[in-house]
Amino acid sequence: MANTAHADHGHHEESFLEKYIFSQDHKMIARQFLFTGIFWSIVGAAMSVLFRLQLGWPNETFPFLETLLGKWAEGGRISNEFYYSLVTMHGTILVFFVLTAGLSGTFANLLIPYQIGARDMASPFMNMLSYWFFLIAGVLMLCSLFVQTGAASGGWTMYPPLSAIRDAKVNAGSMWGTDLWFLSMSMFIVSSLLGGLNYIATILNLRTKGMTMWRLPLTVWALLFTAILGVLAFPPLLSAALLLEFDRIFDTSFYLSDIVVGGNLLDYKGGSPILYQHLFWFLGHPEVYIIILPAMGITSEILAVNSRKPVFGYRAMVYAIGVIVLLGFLVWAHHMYMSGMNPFLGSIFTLFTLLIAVPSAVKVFNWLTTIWKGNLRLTPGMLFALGFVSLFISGGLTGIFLGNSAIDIPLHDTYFVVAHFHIVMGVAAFFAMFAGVYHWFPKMFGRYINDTLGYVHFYVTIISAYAIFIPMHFMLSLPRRYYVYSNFQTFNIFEDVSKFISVFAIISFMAQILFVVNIVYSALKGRKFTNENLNPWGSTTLEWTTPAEHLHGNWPGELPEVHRWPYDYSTGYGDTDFRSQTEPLKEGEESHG
Amino acid sequence: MLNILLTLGVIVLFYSVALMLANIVERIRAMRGEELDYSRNNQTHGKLFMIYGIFFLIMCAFSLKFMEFASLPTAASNWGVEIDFLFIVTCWITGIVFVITHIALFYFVWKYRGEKENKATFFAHSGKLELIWTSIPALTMAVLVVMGLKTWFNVFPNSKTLPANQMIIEATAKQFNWMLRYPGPDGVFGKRVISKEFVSPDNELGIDWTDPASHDDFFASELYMVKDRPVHFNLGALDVLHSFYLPHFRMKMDCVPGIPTGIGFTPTLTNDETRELLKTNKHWASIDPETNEPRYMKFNYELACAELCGKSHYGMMMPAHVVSQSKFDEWAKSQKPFYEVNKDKIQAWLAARNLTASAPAAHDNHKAFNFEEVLNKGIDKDAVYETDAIEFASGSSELNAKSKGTLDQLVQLLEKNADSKIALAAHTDSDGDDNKNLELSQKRADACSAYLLSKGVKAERIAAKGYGETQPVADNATKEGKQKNRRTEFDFN
Repeated sequence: MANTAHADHGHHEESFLEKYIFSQDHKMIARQFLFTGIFWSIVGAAMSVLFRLQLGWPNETFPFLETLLGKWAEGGRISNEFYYSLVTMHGTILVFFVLTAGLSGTFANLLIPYQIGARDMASPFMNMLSYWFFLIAGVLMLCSLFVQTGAASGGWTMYPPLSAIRDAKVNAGSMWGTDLWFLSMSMFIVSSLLGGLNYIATILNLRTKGMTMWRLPLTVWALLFTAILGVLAFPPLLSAALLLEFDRIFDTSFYLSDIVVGGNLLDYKGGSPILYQHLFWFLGHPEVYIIILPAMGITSEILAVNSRKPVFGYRAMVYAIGVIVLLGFLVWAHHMYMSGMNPFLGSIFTLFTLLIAVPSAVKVFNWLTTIWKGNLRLTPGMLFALGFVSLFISGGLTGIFLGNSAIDIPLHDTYFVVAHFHIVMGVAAFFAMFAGVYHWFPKMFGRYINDTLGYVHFYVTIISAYAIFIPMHFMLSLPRRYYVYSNFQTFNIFEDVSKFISVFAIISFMAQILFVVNIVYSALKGRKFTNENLNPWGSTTLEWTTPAEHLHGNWPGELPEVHRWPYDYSTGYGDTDFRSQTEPLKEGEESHG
Repeated sequence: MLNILLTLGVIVLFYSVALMLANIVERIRAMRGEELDYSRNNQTHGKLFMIYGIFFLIMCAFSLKFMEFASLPTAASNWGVEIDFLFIVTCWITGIVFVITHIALFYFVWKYRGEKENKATFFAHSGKLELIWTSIPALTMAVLVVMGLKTWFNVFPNSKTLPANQMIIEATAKQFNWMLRYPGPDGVFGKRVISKEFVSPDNELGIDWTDPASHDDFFASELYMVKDRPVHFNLGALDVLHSFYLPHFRMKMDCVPGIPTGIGFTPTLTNDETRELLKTNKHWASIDPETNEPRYMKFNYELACAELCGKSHYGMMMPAHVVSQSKFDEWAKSQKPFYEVNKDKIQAWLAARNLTASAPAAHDNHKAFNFEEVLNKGIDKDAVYETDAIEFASGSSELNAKSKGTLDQLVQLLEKNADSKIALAAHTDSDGDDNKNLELSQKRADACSAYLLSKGVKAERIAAKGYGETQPVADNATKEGKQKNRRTEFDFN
């Protein structure tokens, strides 16, 4: 169907620049996203290790910190200003650069063309631009770490007036650091819009012959909905950022009113800080679904393949994602129950927020039913997918507390919230990303990843992640973003627990380095993925029908034709326990879409 | 520097060894021809995952016990108790789901770990099952929404009627402390004007010192509230966002520059009562090495900031106290009004602006009670009515015939205005012991209230309070003044 003419000149010689740097090939762009994501996750995680040192040992000094950080850690102790920069950057980097771009960018690029049977994205050029805008965003963000007044330190949500008043006395991080932050985010938004439009266009238009919507693997469904969410939700953040920059540079009053600094009334009049919060969370909440939907898609796919069973309730899974997307746009103000907005609004957002538990519960029960009576192959990828299910349950359930506005009154902005979102959108999304990397590693790098290190990575990570975040649920009185908590006798009781958490944060960080070592080593030296066994997991989907070496255009000859849905595992027909999507239905075989 | 390099070296060595060992294991698998045959791994990890699962659930249960010390004592406010109940209900519901789904997850992985001869069961869809696990969560959520919103609307009622007898405190946050303003004996805050003329480094709040109501306002360095008396906080911020957070009361609300916010509740436990509760807490019962006393002895409630507000966000601590009315009055009396203490400064401030403070036109909403007039013209809800026609013998709280007559008139007015409530306030002059006067005035207010009750006025329509000598309207040094101060007031609302 889609540009078959392309096939004839499928593989032509490319220069180094074309192939590795300004690549327009979705497989290469996927790897570019992955490696940039890995770079940022190391930076972001290292930041968390630094501030965990402060939280775990607030009274100790670490001379090496002064060697590394200079004035930001005088006397070997991280300064409070630097602490808030670290917290802000940790959040920004992990939410946007790792879990949005790293996760979606990698797997949307890798899987969409492969799994729908397309030669590449609808616009490979736009796809390349999407990566390059992401890289520029990253470079700007990296620069902001090195400006004299310090990186942005208003929290990853960048609420004005703290982020809006360009006055070092109010907040040093609100000087150049914040300008660069917003500039970087603007580039990032451009990147994600270019990517998202492309993903949608590709999925809707370039499906191969026979690939109807109801024959799309759940990964592709999830990535489609993710792209739609991103395209609709990111523009308001761009406008929010722009208006805030106006307030900062041209002294407009979109978000500011009656500000008194040092006893002097500033000139701002009539703006509302709460308006920014509405605009921010109109993106910010869909953002968590932008992060978690691809994770859900990857998990569904990997659970089915390794259980040798179809995903249970395929259509219900799609509908559930659809409902989550729809409701995802109607719940943003649950981040703002205590913001001072009209409490009546809070009641409506409570209703919609708790409603999201329903499609989420359907997904969890469907995953559990997918592995029920399966014949589970416990690869590292599969273990991470199972870990995702556990984490999604744990983190999802605590959302029921926070979504209920009345319970949110005491819990808002405490460590309970920190624990909740780290588990459900941080660690869980990471687990799906790990699962995806282990599962599609042969496809991505033409070599197998080292399973043993994968197993070690899994157990160390899941144990340390829970060891970090379960105790945090009990620190539910402690406000988040406290540099030290010894000023309060109420909060000055968590010394031992904080140490415990910090130790596991370091262990977890070391395990992730092991994972990176594994990726790099295996991509260079791992066991080869050869044309003799192109489908190591016995998978039905199209990506495993392409040759082992990467061809520009993916399939050497004609594009494959699809005859069935992607989950014909253990149907009882044929001589293997899976029927590839390209295989025509046998007489009497049931069609599932 | 050398240390850092050495440490790096050790780390590199560590990863190299890990990589080598892992490669050896992979080689062994390859020698067995099991690169892609996971049968052996399925056995190992099916069991290992189960062991991990059991360990995980045990640790979850253990942390419930171990982290007990971190739980806050019983909520010290009316809404706090309700919210805690909701929290516990949600804990049970989510806890049950958590345990069941996790047991299923671990059990399935163990039970269905892959074996070569096994086959998965093709099971793609079941409308019935999906209906079950759509509707059960939906129903559960419906219950939680209804319960949650009930509490939510209790905390933030739609109607604007204030609880009788409510105390109002203004809390304004700035980098990095709280400014607490109490309205003083007149119960009215001095006006604030947010303009360049009024806001200045020595008047950050922009208080209009020409407003006589501002003259008895005082600023407090610690928060004081009265047990069982509703309190409402008018919240604001000067520079950036802050959040008014009272963990023990389970209360929180953002302070937003330019937008007034607020939150109200009724404190139910005094500091002493909470200290008593903390005796059973492992942490609080332990000895503080600095004072050699159990920690709970020094316990106070605390006000914290819960919205990132800059580099010293974590330092915005203010002790909070819940005390009896009499202790509160004692404390309030010891607080000097800002106007009085800083008279010179304020005069200079006024002079710089060509303003003069007008003389206190005190109690301008106070009106003498005239039954005929009120009956004919209707109740003026903004006014506080004063009367000396409710009389008591010195030191007594017995109602005489004249007083009963006046109260009968009130009954009539209440019958006519069926939707209004009455707040009675009894005041004394300054003769005699302060506390005795307070007690006496309360008894007198109660006597009035009891009389109204006996005439069929519903209890929820009456609030009665004695103020003793705390709110004089005239000079207690003169006989006339004393006469004026011995009065009963009532306010219809």
